Amino acid sequence: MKIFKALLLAVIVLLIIIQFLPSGIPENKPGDERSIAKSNLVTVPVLDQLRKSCFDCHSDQVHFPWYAKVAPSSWLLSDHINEGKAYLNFSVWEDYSKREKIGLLQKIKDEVESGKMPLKSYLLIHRDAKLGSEEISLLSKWTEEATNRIME
Amino acid sequence: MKTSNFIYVIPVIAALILIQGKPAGETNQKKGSFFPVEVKKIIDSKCYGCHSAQGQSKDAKDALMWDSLPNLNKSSMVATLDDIVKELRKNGMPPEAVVKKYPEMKLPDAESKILQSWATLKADSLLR
Repeated sequence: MKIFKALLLAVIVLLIIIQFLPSGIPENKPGDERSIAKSNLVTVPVLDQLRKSCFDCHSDQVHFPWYAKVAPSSWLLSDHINEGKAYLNFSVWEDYSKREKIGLLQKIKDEVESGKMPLKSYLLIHRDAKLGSEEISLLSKWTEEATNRIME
Repeated sequence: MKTSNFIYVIPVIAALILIQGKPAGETNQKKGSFFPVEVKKIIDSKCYGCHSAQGQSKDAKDALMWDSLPNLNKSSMVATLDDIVKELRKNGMPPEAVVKKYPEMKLPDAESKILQSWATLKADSLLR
């Protein structure tokens, strides 16, 4: 029993200590002039779906849940968000070249159609982010239309 | 009678020769200009082994087939070229495991740069 108490205390102390380590979670940025939301590429339903299913890792407008502020879950989150934004950040859409936009739209189509995105671990907690066949076809069609518009 | 028959034969033969030569000549030229010589040399020695019909890895072939690239529609071609640039930028190809086993497969920076600027220019030319 003594050992158990000591162990519990050690875990609690450790949990407190790691709260002071930097999590690396990026800050949200208020300005979104370069965002895809401001472009003429998206319709309202498409933008809503992107917000719901993608923006938490692929934008500067992330909805942070309470456990994003608590280590060690904050570390996992920061990894996902930083990696996600390195591939694609909808908040800086206008900074991408035409070539990059078309490449990204193709990737979005592939990822969404194959069900690789959104990540399973994300969907466990964010049920409303899940893409059904209707949402998949909405996004897939959108990537084609957007590509054509950029190609014009 | 004999000479007039012969006169008809000449244009027919000439026409036959023309329709043979023209399209074949055009495709040859197209193929040649898609991959400049220096680019083709690098692709052949560093990429073609996996990204062609002779490749063993399905993943590699699904991701990129150099022989199909010139026949893709415009937007797919741009997307593929973008993929090539990104992959090369992060030193993702040839895969580390391949280079470890076959050091001669390493893609030197200079060669990577040649492929990158070719792919960039090619994509830009399609977007104009």
